[in-house]
Amino acid sequence: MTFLHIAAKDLRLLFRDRKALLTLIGTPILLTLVLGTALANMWTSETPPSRVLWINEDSGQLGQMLIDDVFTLPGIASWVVLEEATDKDAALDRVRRGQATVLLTIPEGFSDSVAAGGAVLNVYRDPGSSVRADAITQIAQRFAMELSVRRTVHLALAGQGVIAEAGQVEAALAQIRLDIERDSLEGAVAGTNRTYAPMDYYAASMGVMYLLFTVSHGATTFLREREGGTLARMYQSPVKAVSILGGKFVGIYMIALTQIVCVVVFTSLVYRVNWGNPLAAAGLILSAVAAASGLGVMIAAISKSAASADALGTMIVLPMSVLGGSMMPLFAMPAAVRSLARLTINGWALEGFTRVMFENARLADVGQNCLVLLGAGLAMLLVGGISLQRKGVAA
Amino acid sequence: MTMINVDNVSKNYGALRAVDGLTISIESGAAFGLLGPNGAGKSTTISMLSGLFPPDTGNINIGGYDLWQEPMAARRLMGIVPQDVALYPALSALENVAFFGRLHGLAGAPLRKRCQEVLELVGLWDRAREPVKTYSGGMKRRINIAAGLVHSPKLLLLDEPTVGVDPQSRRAILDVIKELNGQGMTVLYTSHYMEEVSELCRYIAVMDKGRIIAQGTQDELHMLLGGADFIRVETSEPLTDVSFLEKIPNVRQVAAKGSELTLTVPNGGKALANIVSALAAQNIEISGVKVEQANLEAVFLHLTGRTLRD
Ligand SMILES: Nc1ncnc2c1ncn2[C@@H]1O[C@H](COP(=O)(O)OP(=O)(O)OP(=O)(O)O)[C@@H](O)[C@H]1O
Ligand SMILES: [Mg+2]
Repeated sequence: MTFLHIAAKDLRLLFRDRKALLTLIGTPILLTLVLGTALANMWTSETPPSRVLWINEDSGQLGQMLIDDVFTLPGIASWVVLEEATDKDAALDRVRRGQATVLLTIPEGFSDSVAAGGAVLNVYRDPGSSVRADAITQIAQRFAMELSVRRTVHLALAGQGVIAEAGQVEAALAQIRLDIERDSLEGAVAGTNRTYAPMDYYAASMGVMYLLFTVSHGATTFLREREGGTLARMYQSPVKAVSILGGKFVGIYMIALTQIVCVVVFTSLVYRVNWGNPLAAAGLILSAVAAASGLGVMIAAISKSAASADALGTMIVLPMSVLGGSMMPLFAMPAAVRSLARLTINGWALEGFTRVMFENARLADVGQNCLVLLGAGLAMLLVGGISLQRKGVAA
Repeated sequence: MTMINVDNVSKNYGALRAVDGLTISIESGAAFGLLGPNGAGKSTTISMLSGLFPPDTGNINIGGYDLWQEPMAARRLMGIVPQDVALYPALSALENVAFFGRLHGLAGAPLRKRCQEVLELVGLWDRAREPVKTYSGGMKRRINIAAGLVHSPKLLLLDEPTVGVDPQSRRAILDVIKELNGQGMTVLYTSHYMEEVSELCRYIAVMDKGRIIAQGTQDELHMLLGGADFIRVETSEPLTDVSFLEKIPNVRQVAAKGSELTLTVPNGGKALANIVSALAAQNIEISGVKVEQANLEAVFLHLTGRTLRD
């Protein structure tokens, strides 16, 4: 249990270090407020209802159902104005000019193709109106997905003779679908509507970014111990190297956890940020802290001195934060950058946090994010830890 | 019983041989002085003895345990006082000492008791709750010692514990070490101050450029010189050529460092007149002369041709 003494000592040192506390916990809280307020425009420029142009070429029931029943659900109707378009080119032009958010076309034979599998809905988006367009696209996608799921179910039932004729499938679908549909769509849309609140987003993004600064601070404490001789003192005591390094890792983990928990608690209480499902948020926090701590160990292993660890930390954290969406929301970035976000701790963590915050995701929904973060943390801990163990007290 | 047995230990830093075929043996309860100038290899030796890194060749045995076969048992016996103060500046003296005590398995009431004992021993119990960064250099060094003592080691390794310390703290440190040694603790004390080593240690090894160039009791080392004395002459101008002094009968050795000359002679009184007149003949102005009894410094000078502070 010696490693716990080492970790506890590191926590105690953090609390004695006012400057570090202020930087690591105060700055993200302040930046959340500043960015959340200053950049709010980017998020709320679409406050007037979004115009959805639609063209329905489908002769079946299902196409019209999307327009009449889904887009008129209470959670959606409040921010959507539906307008039937007649000319596709003219409608597209309006979307391009920003006069409408999307053009939704329901192709001919949509209902039939649902029954046959492989239905297609087309959403043409206003490139400047990302959030609402995202939400509308999502609604259309969910709708199409639900339809195909139900089709599969019904075909299976029909195959077993439960529903005698294939022709009845569409009718059966139209009967039972809506209740279920309503639930899931309302869930998704309620989330989308309430949120994409800039304050919430920046609380998560600054929290994660400063989490990374915190672990690079943790890395410098390791190197400072090496430079100051206290690491040697630990190695001279009858404590195994693995306990010493384990203690330092747990110390970094605890420091990082303290930092992000402070940010979460403060932003929820003062800024009324909604971190979403507590279990999912906790899972993401614990695994993001693990990934970050692994990164801290790597930085300590690579750096020769505390000063170079500090510099290296910044050199890693800033680009990661830009690519991972901590500076500017990922949805506002080009697709190429979005895929690079998969290489960053910020990217995985933020994607998870936004889903938990804005889409009511639960722990299982962000399980992949947690696993990726945990795995990355573990891998970096192993590689960095072995390197540190080999080095001992030598730089 | 032998507490430390170092057998033909060497350590290289790249091309530099920092420790070269070191062999020493220290009896339980002894105070052993390792005397050498800067860069002699004292700290490298202490680091290897405390298990921070292995020697390139040779064996180290501490209290009957091979340091690399049974490191934990060997480390339990040792307390180490490193050359540079190794403490957490933001923590109080008590927190520092308690932390290192915990690493040695102490806890609860015994830990509290030992912390108080060692902090009283170094005379800083009344300030124990203040952060170390607010202490003077000498006080930090005393806490540095307390941190090496908290687990009641049988063997204490001290690496130049009085460097850069005011006379008062220095006195306090030397007295503490004497007291501990008097209670039976084995002490290995490294220094380049020969006065300290001669005061504390009966047995002394003189180290230079990684090698032990002489070892024995103080008396044995003095015998090396054949009862020589030591004349220090301060001139007003630095001397470049001192060969004329070496020609004076009875002058065994001349070392010049700036305007300070150190001459080794069998009998100070007799040689002094010849030396002074030889300098006068060269029109060299003398600003001070001192005759000293043979001491460890003379031994070092005799063996290496350099003074300890070179
Ligand atoms: N980590 C290192 N890398 C390279 N060379 C080193 C290292 N540590 C020590 N040395 C060299 O090894 C030699 C012995 O150094 P050491 O610190 O053991 O001497 P010392 O007797 O303790 O000197 P001092 O009285 O100045 O403390 C010196 O020449 C030093 O420059
Ligand atoms: Mg040294």
